[in-house]
Amino acid sequence: MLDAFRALLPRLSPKQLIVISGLGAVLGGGAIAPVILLVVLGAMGGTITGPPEQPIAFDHSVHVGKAGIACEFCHRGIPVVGNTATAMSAPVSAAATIPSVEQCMFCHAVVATDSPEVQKIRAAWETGTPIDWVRVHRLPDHVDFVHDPHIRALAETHPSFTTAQICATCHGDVASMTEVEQVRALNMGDCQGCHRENSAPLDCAVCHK
Amino acid sequence: MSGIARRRFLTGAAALAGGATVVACAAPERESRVQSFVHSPEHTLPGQELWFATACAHSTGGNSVVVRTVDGRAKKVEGTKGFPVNLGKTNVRGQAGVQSLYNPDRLKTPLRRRGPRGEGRFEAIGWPEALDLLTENFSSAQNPLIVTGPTSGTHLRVLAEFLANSEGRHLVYEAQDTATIREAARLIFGYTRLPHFDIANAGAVLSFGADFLGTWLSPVHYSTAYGKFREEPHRGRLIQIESHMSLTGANADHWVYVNPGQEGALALSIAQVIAAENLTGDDRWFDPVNAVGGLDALNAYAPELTAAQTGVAPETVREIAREFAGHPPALSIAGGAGLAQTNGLDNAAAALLLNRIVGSTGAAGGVRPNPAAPSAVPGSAAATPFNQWGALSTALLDGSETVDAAFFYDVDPVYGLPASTRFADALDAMSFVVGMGTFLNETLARADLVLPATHPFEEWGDFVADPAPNMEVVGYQQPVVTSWTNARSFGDVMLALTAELYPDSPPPWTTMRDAVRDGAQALIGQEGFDHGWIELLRTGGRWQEGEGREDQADQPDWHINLLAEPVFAGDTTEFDLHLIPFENVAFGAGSESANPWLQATPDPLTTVTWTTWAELNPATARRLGVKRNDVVHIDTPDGTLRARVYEAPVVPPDVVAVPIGQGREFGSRWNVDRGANVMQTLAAQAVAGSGALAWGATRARVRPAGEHDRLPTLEVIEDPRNDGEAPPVRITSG
Repeated sequence: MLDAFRALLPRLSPKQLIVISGLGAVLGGGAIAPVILLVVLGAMGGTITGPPEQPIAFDHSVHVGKAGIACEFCHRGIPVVGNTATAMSAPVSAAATIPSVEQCMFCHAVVATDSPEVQKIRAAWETGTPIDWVRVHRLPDHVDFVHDPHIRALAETHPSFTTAQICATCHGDVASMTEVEQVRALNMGDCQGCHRENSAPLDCAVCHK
Repeated sequence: MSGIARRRFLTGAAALAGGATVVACAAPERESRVQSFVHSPEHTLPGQELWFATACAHSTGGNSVVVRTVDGRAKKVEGTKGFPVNLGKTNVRGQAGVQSLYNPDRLKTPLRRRGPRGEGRFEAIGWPEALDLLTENFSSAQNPLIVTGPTSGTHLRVLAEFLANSEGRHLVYEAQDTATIREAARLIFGYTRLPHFDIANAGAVLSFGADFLGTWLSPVHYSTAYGKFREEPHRGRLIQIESHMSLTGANADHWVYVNPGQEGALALSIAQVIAAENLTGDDRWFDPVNAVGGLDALNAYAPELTAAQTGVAPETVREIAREFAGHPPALSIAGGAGLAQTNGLDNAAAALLLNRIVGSTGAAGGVRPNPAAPSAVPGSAAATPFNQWGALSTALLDGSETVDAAFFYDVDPVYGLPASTRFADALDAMSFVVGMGTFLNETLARADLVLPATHPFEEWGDFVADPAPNMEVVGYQQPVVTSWTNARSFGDVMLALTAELYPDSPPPWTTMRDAVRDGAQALIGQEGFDHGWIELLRTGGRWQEGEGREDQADQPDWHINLLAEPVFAGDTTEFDLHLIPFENVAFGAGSESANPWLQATPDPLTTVTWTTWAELNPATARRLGVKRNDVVHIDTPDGTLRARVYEAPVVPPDVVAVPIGQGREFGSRWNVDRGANVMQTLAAQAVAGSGALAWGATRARVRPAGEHDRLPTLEVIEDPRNDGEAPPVRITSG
């Protein structure tokens, strides 16, 4: 159920949470109670709840931090840009995409086969069962977010960035995360702030299509 | 309220309401999950769409469609651009295909009967067990019977492998017989294949009950042709003659009511006017008229002499004749209830004869012969008309014939044949019955073994368009998604069965895909086949000018004197109305009624959805003391059904019209126990000469049931006699 709230409610930064809660407390009274409830639940969609529990304890700090695997090696929906850019440019989808079980098995057929978490992957592979990951980042349905132009724009404005650094703009330092969690509010104010800073368009129809 | 302060109560209530709103609006749990593929599909990225061309088996005529798939799921159906039958278009059945594909009530696993036949109690079994059961019963069968719907292409080659080894036979059951129009085309033009009726290029179309925009032969093709036909500056004239207004009738420039079964007499009246007034401007009418009996015989059908019989005023007949002959090329076609009379074949022959009289044959805007099917991919198998089903039923019931194993695929004769044929009982006389389909139906419910069939979007296949659009067209069908059920394709099951039964002469293919590919190889040749095969699948098939067009016969093989008076079941005093069943534009004769989108598709004329209704003229309704939404019993000499009244001024006073397709006991949650099955109440009469079911030749009486039940319609009729209840759907003015 909490996951569902996370998906639905506006995400707030801690600062916004304090301001709105403060306003609620000052105004007080019954009429504002549902608003406070919304605010509290909404905050849970942001940074407060921390990383969700995943069916397999996948550790980005090992894969990205230690092994140095590039983001786009697993998340194949994103374009390859920045100083790692090569002539290859895979077809891109709107989503960065979750790697298939098969892709995990490319390496884990031989790497760390004793790990209980890797054995879960092997079981999924052998039984042909898709893995139900819990979403960490979810934008509302009325937002048409496509990774491709964002990554390309950041690559243009920050030519020295690696893809990992570009991804970190929104997703934080995933290379140091044992469990991935959302680090930015990724709400409308957050999007607009970044668009302003980078002189990106601010028309409603850019995101709300 | 003692003990709780007002302010506190309001606070609590508001908080509860807010909480409830949040809970109610929360995104579904599944949206917080994101699944990873097990395998990475080639050329596929999550969220990226892929379109595949395949065949649309739900539409008559042979349409090709492209299906949009995302993440391995079919999302949307469109017509395949350039495919000459449907020319990039689809109809409502094609569009709704995805709802049959993902229908939760599909047959998902093989079932073995428990309890008596017809009760519909089954237990789920696995495929190995099902195939064992099938093999066991068919290996001991002396004369196995395979029954399929209309089929062509590789299915027939696969069946031929089975039939070559066994003493079995293959019968084709058509929910709506096309035997009459086929036989009429043979009599008048000498064509053994359905010709191309070139509506697009005609100057005038005279249609005797052919609802070519809704259900007739190849409706998507004709609807597209109709668009061209109506284009300015040479906007064609459409005259529709029928006993119940169809969608095509509603679009006509001139709609004429004819007494049921008198279409032939009216066609000859029109011919008489053309000849007598020499409306063609030359003597082209002379030879065909002479060949069918001469002017003297035709003069017996002068408009004044037939007016009482046909119910059409002489001046109207003259007007139609002038309009028809005055806009060359003029095309005359026939279908619907006029052909489903005891004299239906002669009605059709008389209607088609008009084409020869005005010279609209073999050229644009007229009737043109179609090319033969290519030798590599067989054309449509001849269908078994109604009288042969009746004969089979009788023979099984009196014991003069036995069937020890029967296989019914994608057909439902128990539903579609009149109850008086007693086909359900005949089925029970068969020792072992296998039924295969995507949904349970009345026939499958009586089977000993039920096999789940793949949906057309999940299987391989091919077809030869029939009627062809004046060229040779082979369409290809490929799976666009993997089946989510444990279903198999009919072709695969037949190949497995044949290989198992006859290990000494197994079929040359093990799967339907191999068989289809093999046929394609023979069609386009070995050279560059790999590329050619991909092209066939990409474009939906192959079409070309084709060969083997038949020459038109010198003379029609028909005589005016053959036209007999129609015979109706039911005494005129006891049964005062003509019962005219009609095909539903959305789900035809009922094969697609399990689909909720199709159930919810409003009838184009009455806007009724989801149920069976009885169309009555307001005067008839008044006489019977019923009004819209009243429940009535419709009695025929062979049965009775319940329906709700819909008053329509376009229904003649002596007609009660009832749509076909509802009243199922078995199917999906959307079509079971809904409305009534009008086919069951019909008298078992055949069309003389073609053997088709004369489904328009039963008389009926209507009795009020004393109940009232509002019809689900989209329209709102402001009528003081209506009960004033709120309409189910409000249409606000914009």
